[in-house]
Amino acid sequence: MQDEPRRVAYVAHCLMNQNAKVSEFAKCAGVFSPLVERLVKNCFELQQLPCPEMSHMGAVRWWASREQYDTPGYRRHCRNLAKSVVDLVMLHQDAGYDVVIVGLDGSPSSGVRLTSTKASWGGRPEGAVHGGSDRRPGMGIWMEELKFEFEERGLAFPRATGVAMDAQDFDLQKAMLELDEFLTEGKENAA
Amino acid sequence: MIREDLRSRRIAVIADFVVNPGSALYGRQQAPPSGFTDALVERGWGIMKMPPHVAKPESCERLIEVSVGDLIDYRKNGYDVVIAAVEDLPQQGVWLDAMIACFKKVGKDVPPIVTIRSDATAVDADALDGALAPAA
Repeated sequence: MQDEPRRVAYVAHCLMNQNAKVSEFAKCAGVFSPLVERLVKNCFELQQLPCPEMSHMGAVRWWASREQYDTPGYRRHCRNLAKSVVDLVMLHQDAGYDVVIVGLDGSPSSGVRLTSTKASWGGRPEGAVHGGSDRRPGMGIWMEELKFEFEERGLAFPRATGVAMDAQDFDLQKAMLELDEFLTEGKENAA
Repeated sequence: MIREDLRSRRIAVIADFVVNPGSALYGRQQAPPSGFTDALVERGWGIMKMPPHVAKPESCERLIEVSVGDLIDYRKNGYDVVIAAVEDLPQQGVWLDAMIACFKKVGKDVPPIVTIRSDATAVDADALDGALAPAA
């Protein structure tokens, strides 16, 4: 007999596939195992979100800021993906699942609490990206469009957090403590 | 300063069922991911998990299409890609027919396909290592 509520985490694509990262941002070979271990330990099933950056600009894309991705075309691409994702989320919710989202903080697309910013980027790439982009609170374009799709269907955006692997000062220990807190909090609320 | 990039440059396309074998979507009780999935993680494979094979096809069409697009781009850029088809699941658990149709639609070769069973273990991950071939 199933006693505890079913739980599923929809995670940013690159957390299960670091090959999707823009160059120089892959922090492990493939799956970010500290996340998966925690999800399994907390009895979460695992769903992988698509990576709209990868499907839009490919594996050899340039670094880009949130401002560069903030175009009607890219938002349309994200929204099309969001429609499929929300369909799947509804499949889980209809089966009684508690759904959470784990994004990638610091990302121009998949950031939940933190995104990238560099309004001056554009044009000749040589030398322009020196120092990288900055970070600011807020969602990336993909997470924003996903949220909009939930809202458009009259659904609440699931509880969400982000692993700050794209933050300039990424601290693994701190990030995992935050994640533990997020996952435990949800368990208490769902019980 | 150039940052160290640790990507493996190899991607395994796998079924939702082998990641979530105890899912209620399959009418089952909770169970941890299979030893097969654990082995892929340990061996550094990047995972592209396809949507659950019990989902409505119309909900998955777009996701399948972009997944295939990603795989084509990976191969173009020298990454290794292997599809792990589950022989005892509908659509081999990975929406295989729909994936193959997407590859054919744009005139691209289908990546190597390895056949496993839904109760695959760590040993079955060897077949993926064995299927690695130079990118098309």
